[in-house]
Amino acid sequence: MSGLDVSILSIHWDNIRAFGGRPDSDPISAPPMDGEKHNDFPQSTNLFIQMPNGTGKTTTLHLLRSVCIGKIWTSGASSGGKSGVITEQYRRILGDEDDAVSSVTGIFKTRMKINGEVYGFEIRLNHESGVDEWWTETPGGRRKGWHPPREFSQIFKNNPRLIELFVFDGETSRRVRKRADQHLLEKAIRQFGGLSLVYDLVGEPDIKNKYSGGRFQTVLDSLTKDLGNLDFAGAGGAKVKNWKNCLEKVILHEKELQNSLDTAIKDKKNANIELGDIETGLEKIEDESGSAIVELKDIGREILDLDDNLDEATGTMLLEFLNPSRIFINEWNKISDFHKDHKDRKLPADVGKAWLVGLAEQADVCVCGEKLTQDMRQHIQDHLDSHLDMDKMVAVSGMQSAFATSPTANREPLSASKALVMDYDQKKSEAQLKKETMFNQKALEDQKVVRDKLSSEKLLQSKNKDVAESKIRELTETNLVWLTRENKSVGINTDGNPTMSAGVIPLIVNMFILEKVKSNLLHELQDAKGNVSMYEGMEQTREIIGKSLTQLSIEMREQVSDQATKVWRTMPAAAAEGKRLRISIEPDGLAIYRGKNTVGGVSGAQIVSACYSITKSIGDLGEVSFPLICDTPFAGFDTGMYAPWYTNITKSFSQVIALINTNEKSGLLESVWNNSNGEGDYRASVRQLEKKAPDGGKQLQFTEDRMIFNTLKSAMDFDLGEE
Amino acid sequence: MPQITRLIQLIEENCREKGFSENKIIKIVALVQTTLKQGLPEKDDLESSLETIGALK
Repeated sequence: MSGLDVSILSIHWDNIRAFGGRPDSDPISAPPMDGEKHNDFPQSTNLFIQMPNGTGKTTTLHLLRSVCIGKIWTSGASSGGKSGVITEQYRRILGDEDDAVSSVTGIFKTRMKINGEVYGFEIRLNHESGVDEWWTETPGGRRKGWHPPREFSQIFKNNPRLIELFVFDGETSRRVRKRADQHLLEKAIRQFGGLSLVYDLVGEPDIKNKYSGGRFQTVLDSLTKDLGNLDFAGAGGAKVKNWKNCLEKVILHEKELQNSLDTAIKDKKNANIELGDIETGLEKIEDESGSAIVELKDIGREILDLDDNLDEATGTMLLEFLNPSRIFINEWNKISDFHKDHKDRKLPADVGKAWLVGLAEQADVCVCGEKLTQDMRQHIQDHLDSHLDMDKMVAVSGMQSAFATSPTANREPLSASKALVMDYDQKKSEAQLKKETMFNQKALEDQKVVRDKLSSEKLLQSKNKDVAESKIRELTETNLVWLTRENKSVGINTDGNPTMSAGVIPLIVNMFILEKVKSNLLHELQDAKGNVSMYEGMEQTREIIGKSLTQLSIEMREQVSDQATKVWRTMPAAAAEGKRLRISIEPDGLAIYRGKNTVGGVSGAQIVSACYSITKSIGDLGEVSFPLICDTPFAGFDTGMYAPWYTNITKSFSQVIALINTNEKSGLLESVWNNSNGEGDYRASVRQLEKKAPDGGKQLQFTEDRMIFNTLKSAMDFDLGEE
Repeated sequence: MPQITRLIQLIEENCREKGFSENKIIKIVALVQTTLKQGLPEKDDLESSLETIGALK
């Protein structure tokens, strides 16, 4: 996937919901057209389109999502659905009641600049047939269907959840926060990281990071399909029969263990939700008490500060523990010089020469497993020196001597950092005790009762969570040493090989072991069929690529989390808490940490700005520059946050299109535009005219009139007159 | 893209850790790179690649 640079040039509505159109009136365009000639939004600026309630903000947002994914966007978990039913919702409304609708075809069109070329995407919603028909204006001409450039299509095609991150509303942040689509962010990172095709090849990982599905599955299916044709009568027939019997039992038992795992995961999720609610309830009680008892609020803040200090001091202490420069005080320069220069793969000459000569003269097989030919032996002899370093042994000896002396560490810095940790820990314990005592002395009786109830509920849910986690570990652990120690290694024989006994299979409690047993049986059966090379090739390749994808996925999640946290801390809402809050994208969605604990009680504004930060960071990962389009972006924001939002968001995205209501307009005027900021911003309004459209529906007007923009109070603010 | 380079690097490292021969590593990496460039392989092509990989040490 190569980079992608997208900007919106214009938007057009024709007979869509509140927007009228042909044949009764002209379609509405933003920016307005000159006759048949399109005009473009000014580029490199921010676009603020004031759309009072009832003028089609949500409709516009959903249709913008649709043109980006190539099919009508729906809010459901799946992107499917009958298109006729979906297109119904975009019918032109004729009267005041929603059931009076037009059957005239509605048209929504968006022109975009994609990697320097202009594309127009048009959706024709034919309400008679219930069919949505698509047209694309490409640089090569107008074509039926949805035809963006490949780079665009690769990312967004049929991807209704991904586009929500860029064409954003409050529902998106709710989804992200509630983890309604657990893998949304993980998949977005994968998509923008350019790795989707590799996942399509090897399949999706399960909780144990075992990959299944994908193109590899078609190979595995065809390998296992004709196992029934194996001849039991031939040599080893009894063995083959037993393997087949075992495999059938494995497949049955696999389903049982999977069900247990699903239940345990559900239990854990429920416990987590309960714990989050309890935590919010406890925070609420403390807030309420805090407002009544000022000292309680102060001490709460003090505990948070001490917690941060403790975190930092513990980090420093850990570094001191691991700091070798405190031990090898005199030799440290030599050691670090050695490692600084040690970039080559050369061997110390004293020992390496003899080894290479021995390899060339005496060995039958090379270290790579290939049989050594005369040419290879000669090559090694001729190139000995280029693999040897005369000085390396000297440096190694120096280091060995340094280690051999077992020097005593300089313990002063470690002692100092340890004292600091103990000091903060003690202060924190004292503050917590003080807070508890104060609460018991001063809080209202009913608050105490609720708190006690929540606390015992918390204990119960924590226990439920522990039980579920233990079960998940029992089922998914891959560490055989741990499994053996815990007596959970049934299915692995004393010689370390997987069982081939049908009686043992139902007793297996761990899915990793069951997978080993299955893999071994399939291997034997493929061997009997003569397909073992293909089977081994598939198993090995899937394991290697799968493991690498899992490692890379973790790295990318960490990278995006770090980057998003940095961006987030510059944004309003999160910035207020300094370095306390941190975004972490985890395999099952977004988590927000305050210090080292996840938190439930973050504000809507903080979540929204977290989503913007993540979107920005994921876009950067894929070198994708896509506009941020948002519906009522300031919902839930205090007015004090408008100016910082404006500064940070407009700086973060190459194009911002905000569909704002009149309240948000007033907030922006007061906080931004009247303070000489954003003078170049494009500002326009959609407003309703007093006179009905000829078809009896609302008559909307798109206007760039600054006076109307500044003074409009609602969709039906008819006092402003016609332009 | 840096992520693709990193993926190839990880594949090579994991192969070496498993003791695969250089020939085998080249074939596995080629399968990934071809998929990224040309899209998913046809089933027959994939089977043939996997058989070759499985036969190598």
